[in-house]
Amino acid sequence: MKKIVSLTMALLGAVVVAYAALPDKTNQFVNDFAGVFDSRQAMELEEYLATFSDTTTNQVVVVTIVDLGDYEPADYAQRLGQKWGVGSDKDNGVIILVKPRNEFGGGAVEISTGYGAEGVLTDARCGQIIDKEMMPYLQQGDYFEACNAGARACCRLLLGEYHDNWDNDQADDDDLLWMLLCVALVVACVGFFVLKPSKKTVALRAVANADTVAKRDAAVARAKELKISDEKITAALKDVPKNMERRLYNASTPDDFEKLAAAALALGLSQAAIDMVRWRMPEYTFKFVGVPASCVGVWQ
Amino acid sequence: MKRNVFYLLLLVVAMSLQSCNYNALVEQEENVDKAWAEVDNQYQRRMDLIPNLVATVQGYVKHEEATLTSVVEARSKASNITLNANDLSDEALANFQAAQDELSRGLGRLMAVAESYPDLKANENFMALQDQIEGTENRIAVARRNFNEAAQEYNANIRKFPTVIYAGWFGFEKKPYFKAQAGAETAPRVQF
Repeated sequence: MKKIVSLTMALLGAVVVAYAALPDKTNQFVNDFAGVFDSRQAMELEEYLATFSDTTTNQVVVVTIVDLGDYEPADYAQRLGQKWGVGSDKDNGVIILVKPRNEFGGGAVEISTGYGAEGVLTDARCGQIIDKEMMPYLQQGDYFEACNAGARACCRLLLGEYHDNWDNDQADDDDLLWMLLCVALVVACVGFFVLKPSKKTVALRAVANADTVAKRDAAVARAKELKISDEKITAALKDVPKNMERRLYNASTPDDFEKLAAAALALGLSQAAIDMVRWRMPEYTFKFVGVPASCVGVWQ
Repeated sequence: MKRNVFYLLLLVVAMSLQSCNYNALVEQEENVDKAWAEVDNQYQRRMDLIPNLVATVQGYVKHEEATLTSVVEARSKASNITLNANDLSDEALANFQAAQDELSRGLGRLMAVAESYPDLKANENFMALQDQIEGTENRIAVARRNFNEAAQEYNANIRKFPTVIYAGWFGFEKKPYFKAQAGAETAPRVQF
C-alpha cells in the first residue's frame, strides 16, 4: 500500500514539476531570467527594442530561461508568446528564446513568430538568422551578442514590412475622409433648416427692401402684427432710402431709372441724393432714348 | 395541486434560464469549426512543401527511389482524404489522422536519409525547406492542441444538464479528438 501511495505521489509530483508555469509577463523587451546579460548591455538592447516597438506595430522580445522543463523549445516559445500577448492586435510579435548551457542540459535557441510576422520572418529566414547570426556567438557562450545580433536581424527584416503597414494606414485615411464628407453633408442639411430665418427677420427684411410706398406700409403693418418692437421697425425704415439708392445705381434702363427715382422720392430719399446718382451715371441725364443707348454701346 | 404547479413553474424557470444556452452552443461549435479549419490549413501547408523537398533531394541522393516514391504516394493519399468541418466524426478523423501520420513517417525517413549526404545537408535550399517543414510540424501541433481544447469545451457543454436534454434536438453532436501521436524521437535541430 505504502509503495503504491509513494509511487503515485512521485508520479504526480513529477508531472507538476515538469510542466512548470511559464513566467509572467513583464513590460520589458529584454527578459533575462537566466541572468546571463550584464545590465548595461541589457539596457542598450532594451532601448533599441523599445524604439522599434514604438515606431512599428511589431514587437520583438528576447527571453533567456534557465530550464525548459518538459517543453520543446518551439513549444515553450510559442506558448510564452501567446501567454504574454506579444505583438499588437495584428499578432505580429516575435520571441527570441535562449536557454544557455547549464546544469539542466545543453543549450537551445528558438525564434517564434506570430502569424502577422510570418510573412516576413518565415521559418527559413528564422533558421538562417539562428545559423548565421546567433550560432557563432552561442557556441562560444556569448549569449548577449547572440541575442543582440538575432534581435537586430529580426528588426531589420521586419522594417522592410513597415511600409506595407503604412500603406494600410493610408487606406484608413481615405475611409476617414469619406466619413468626414458624409458628416459634413449631414451637418449642412441640418444647418440649412436650423438657420432658416425666423418670421420676424423676414418681416423686417420686407420693410427694408420695400420699393414702393404701398409695399412699405403693408410690410410695416405685418411687422406690427408680429409684435416686433417699434425701435426695430424704425431702424428698418431708416434702411429704406439707402436701399432705394442702391437700386438706382443698379437701374438697367433710363425709364427704369426715372420710375425708381419717383418711388425713391416718395419713400424719403432726398432729391439731392437722386441728383447725385444721376450725375454719376451720365447716360441718364440725357432724356433722349437714342443717345443713352449709343452711349451704352460706346461704354461697352 | 399547488405543489405540482410549483414544480412545473420551477421547471419552466430552469429551462428558460438555460434557453439562452443555445447561442453558447452555437458559438462553441463555431469555435471548433474554426480550429478545424486551422488544422486543415497547416496540414495543407505541409503538403505544399513536399514536392519542392522531393525535387531538391532527388538531385543529390542516389538509389533512394523507394523512400522518395513512398513520400510522394503518402502525400497523394493524404490529399485525397479531405474532411469537412461538418463531417467530423470519430472514424472520419481517425482515417484523416492515419493518412497524415503515414506522411509524417515518410517524411521522417526522408530526413533520416538526407542526414547521410553532407552536400545535401549544406544546400541552402534544403536547409530552408527543412526549417519550413519543422516550423509547419510545430504549427500543426499547436493547431491540434487548439482544436482539442475547443472540442473539449463544446463536448463538456453538450453533456451538461439541462443542455444535454435538448442538444440532440438541434443537431449538436459530439466532436472527436485528435489522438496523441506515437512520437518519433527527433533530436532538436538547434543545439549548442
